[in-house]
Amino acid sequence: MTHAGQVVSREAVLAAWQAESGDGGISAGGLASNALEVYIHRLRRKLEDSGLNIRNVRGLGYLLEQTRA
Amino acid sequence: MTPPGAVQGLSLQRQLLLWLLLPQLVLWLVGGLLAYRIALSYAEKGIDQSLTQSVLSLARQVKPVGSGLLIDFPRAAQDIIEQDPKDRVSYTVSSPPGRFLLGNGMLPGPADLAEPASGVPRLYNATVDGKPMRVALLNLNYGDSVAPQRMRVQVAKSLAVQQRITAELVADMLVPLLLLGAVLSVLVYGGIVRGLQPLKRLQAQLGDRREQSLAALRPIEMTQAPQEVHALAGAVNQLLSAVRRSLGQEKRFLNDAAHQLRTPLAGLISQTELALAETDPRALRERLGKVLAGAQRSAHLVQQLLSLARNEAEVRLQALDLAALAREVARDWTPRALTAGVDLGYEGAAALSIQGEPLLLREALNNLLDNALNYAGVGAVVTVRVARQGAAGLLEVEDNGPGLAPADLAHVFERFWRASEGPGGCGLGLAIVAAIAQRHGGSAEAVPAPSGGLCIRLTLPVADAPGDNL
Repeated sequence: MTHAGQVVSREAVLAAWQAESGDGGISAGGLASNALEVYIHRLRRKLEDSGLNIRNVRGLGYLLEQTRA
Repeated sequence: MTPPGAVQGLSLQRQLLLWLLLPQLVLWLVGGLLAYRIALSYAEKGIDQSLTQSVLSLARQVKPVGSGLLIDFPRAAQDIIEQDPKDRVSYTVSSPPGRFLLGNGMLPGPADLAEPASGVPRLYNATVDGKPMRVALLNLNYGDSVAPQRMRVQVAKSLAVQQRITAELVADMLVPLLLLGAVLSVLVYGGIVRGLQPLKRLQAQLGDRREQSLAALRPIEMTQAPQEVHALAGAVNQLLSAVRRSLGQEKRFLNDAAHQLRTPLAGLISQTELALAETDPRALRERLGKVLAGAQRSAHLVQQLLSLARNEAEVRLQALDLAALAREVARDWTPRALTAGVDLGYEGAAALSIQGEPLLLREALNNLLDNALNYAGVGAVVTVRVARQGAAGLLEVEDNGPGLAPADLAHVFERFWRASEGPGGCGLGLAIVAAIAQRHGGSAEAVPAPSGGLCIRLTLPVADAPGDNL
């Protein structure tokens, strides 16, 4: 939430996620990347009714944005 | 006419007049003196000649008879000698020398004691009754060898005559000499004034330029000017055009600078406004941090622009990751792109090391994205792309907007060129982009995008040997 309104790169999200979960074991690129997508997908579904959305920005990362009510 | 401070020392005209007329005056005086001397010597010669003749003919009238002298001096001869009352001729016959025999006064002998030989006339100056006189003297020996006798004949004339004749001669010569000098002076003056006319014209042409604009730096027109002035005018023209060029560059830089400063300052203002509206101290601090960062960037930008303005200023290039920089700038632009309804994205290399100046490259990319968002239109797709092509790094910003006509593609990097008359933009953004590319030893080109939009491509030299990854 500290980066609201800013585009965060996949690498930064991944690093933050791993740091939080304490799981350093899945840092191998492809696997972690896939896992991140699954994670984001789940997060999106949870946020569906909150008025927030995680936008996928082409080639740049993710953006947490407010959806218009 | 003459602007103050323009005359340092004597004017050229005065110097020329001085150098031509002063020696002329000196020469003229010397000539006059010489003429006076010559006249004097001629007058002297004339008098001496007549005195010599007089003394010889007077001597002929005195005939030695035995041990005595017979003087045959008719009244007529006396009258001839004494004819001019103003110019009295004095004569003396004495024998032995010094003992008066005949004459109208006793004339003194020569100042030195050397007696001239018999029969040779001698001339000298003497003073009689306080008046300067020219005297001719002739000694003659007579009598036999047992009782040698000597007589002296002297004829004298006042020197006033000589002086009068000299004065007349000098007066006769002085008038034409004076006239000649006057005519020569007028000719010299006229010649100098005429000769300096082109310089005066040059001065008038430059002196009239009071205006402060570039028009004051227009070249001087010097048709039919003499060779020297032509060369001078040419040199001045060369200088003027150099100054005009650099002044033009300065002016263009000022425009560039104003354009470049407007964007960060607008951001600074909006951040400050947001900070003022903030009530939460923590959020306020965060906003203020952004304000500070924006202000610092503006200050740095000013510095960079100044260094860009200095023609020979070195831009310090450093190894940097162009791909990372491009993504960073694109991320900064994403919120604005979303607001404008533009899909902004990145594709291409994950990393590409080039030699570059990060702030300048950031400016270039900012300008490109600003253009793309403004002109591609709502719903457009804008893609930032970094790729490697041989020894060059490519940085592209491509959109699928309306694009430009092929004829216009060549003009996009010209200063103040604009594709449309729409609001916003001043036609400098892409000119700055091109300048930045050139600063990096690269180039910028505008090509049609495959989607029909516009693609601006910067070609920048890569940092290391090909095949070397970051």
